[in-house]
Formats: sequence, C-alpha cells, structure tokens
Amino acid sequence: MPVIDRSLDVNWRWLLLLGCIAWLVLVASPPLLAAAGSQFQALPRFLLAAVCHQDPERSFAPGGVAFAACHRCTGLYLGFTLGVALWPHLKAAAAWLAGQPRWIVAFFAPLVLDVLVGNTPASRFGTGLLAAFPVALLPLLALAERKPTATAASGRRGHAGASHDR
Amino acid sequence: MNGKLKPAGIAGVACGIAAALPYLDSVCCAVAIGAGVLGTYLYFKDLPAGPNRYGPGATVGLLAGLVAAVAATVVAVIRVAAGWTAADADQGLGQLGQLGEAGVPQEVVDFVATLITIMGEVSVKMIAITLGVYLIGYAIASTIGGLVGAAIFAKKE
Repeated sequence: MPVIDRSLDVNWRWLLLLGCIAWLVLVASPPLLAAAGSQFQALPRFLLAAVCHQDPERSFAPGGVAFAACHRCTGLYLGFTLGVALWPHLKAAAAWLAGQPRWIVAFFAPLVLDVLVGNTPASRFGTGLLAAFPVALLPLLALAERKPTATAASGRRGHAGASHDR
Repeated sequence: MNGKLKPAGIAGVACGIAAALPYLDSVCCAVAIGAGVLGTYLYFKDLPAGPNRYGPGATVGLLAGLVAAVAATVVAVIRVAAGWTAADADQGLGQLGQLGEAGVPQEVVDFVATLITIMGEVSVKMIAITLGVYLIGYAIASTIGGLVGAAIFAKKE
C-alpha cells in the first residue's frame, strides 16, 4: 500500500516543525546575539562547526556578523523547514513523489552543478533550498508509517516474513 | 536491531574518520549525510521489499550518525594529541586581537579564547565538548541521509 494513503498531518509533525524552526533560529542567532551584546555570540557558530564550513565570506551577514551556517546550508535548512510545513497541503505532489521517491535525487542536480560550475550567494542559497524541500517529505512519510490504517495493518500481517523491520 | 547495527557501524566509522580528516572537514554536512546514505545502502541491498522503508532508513541513519560522531571524536583527539592542530589554535588565538580592535566586546573575545584553549589540548572537557558537537550535527544529518538512502535503495513493494 502506498504510504501516502495515510495522512501526512501526523502529531509528531508539529514537534519536527518546532525543531526545524529552533535550528533556523540557532543559524540566524549570531547577529541577534551580537546586537544584544551577548558574550555567547560565538556559541552558535561553535555548535554548528561540525556540519558547516562557516566561511564568513560565503554566509549571510546582516550587520556585518555572519550567520552560523553558510549560504548553501541556510538554504538547505530553510527548504527543509518549508517542506515540513507545506507537504501535508500539497497532496497531489506528495502522492507523486512518494510513489517515485528516487526522483528526490534529481532535485540535488542543480546543487551539484552549482558546486562544480561556479556560484553566487543567491545560487548557493537557492539550490540548497530546492534540494532540501522534497527531502522534508521523507520524515513525514516515516512518521506516517508509524500510524497504520486498517488496510495497512492487514497488509503488514501479510508481509510478516518480508518486513524491513528485521 | 542487530541487522541495522552492522551497516550503521561500517558506514559510521568510514564517514566519521573521513569527516575529521583535513580538507574533507570543509564539505559541510555532506559526509554526515553520506554516512546515512551508505548505511541504508548496506542495509537494504540484501533485503526483500517490505511495507516500511523510511522508519528503518531513519533508524539506520541515526545509528550511523552516532557511530560517525564517536569515530570523528577519536580522530579529532588523535589530531590534537599529535599536535597537528597546534598551528590552527595559535592562528586562532592570534586573530583574537583583531576581533578586539574591530570592536568586538572583550567578554566575547575571552569566551572564544577559552574555547580555543580547551579545544587545543586533550582533556575530558575537550573530548566531551567535541563529542557533543559532533553528536548534535551528525545525528540529525545522518538521519536525513538515512531517509534519502531509503528513498533510493529500498525495493518497491
């Protein structure tokens, strides 16, 4: 049974969305902390150092203080957050993508080209946003898998020997 | 769970070591996402089609991220103990003077200097902070990698 037959508006989606927004706030917090004169303005950059190169020349820097992530990572995080918020309302597109999930790779093609060919702040941000938006459908599908419908439950009994949950 | 631990372990160790090496540490979260993708590839390659793909994919990705964080921490400790990061630490401390001249408050400069000093020598504090920072980023990025891997590699039912 296609997973998309189950609702994507699962309870845990709100917690996921809240986590995404908190992550975005962390990314954008250095300029805000600097404006407030906080001594901890370097902390967000330190916390995200493992997953971003954080080159200040390749990061948004309102007021001259760089975000805690580069243009591309900021685009990825924003695209993912928008995806978590919007996919439950894009039912036809969600059903199509859930039916052929390998197409998600195609959305990474502009990002890879951008890395290889040359880029601008706008292209780095834009290709990151485009790549992450469809990926946000996947955790919603994972959460929906946890909420079986009556038909899914009977289907699962029929696949007891071939489950991925080994 | 046992079926997930082996692929997650292999992918986590491989990507954790790769991520902590010089030059490869500048490719953002790609290596951590790669841990999840590689883990799910190894997990799904011999599995028949089943009703659930994303839950197992996320679990394998999360486990791979946790293993990668531990592996990356071990490599980071080795690099610090061997003195390979001493030049970076000295350069960072040297640049702090410029921060002060640029109008950054002294408390901020002191905070950054404390961080650089802690991270510049092997100690329980350094290991705990390094592991914590890697765990936060890698667990999230590798779980997403696991979901992407499930989308690509899980067989259609």
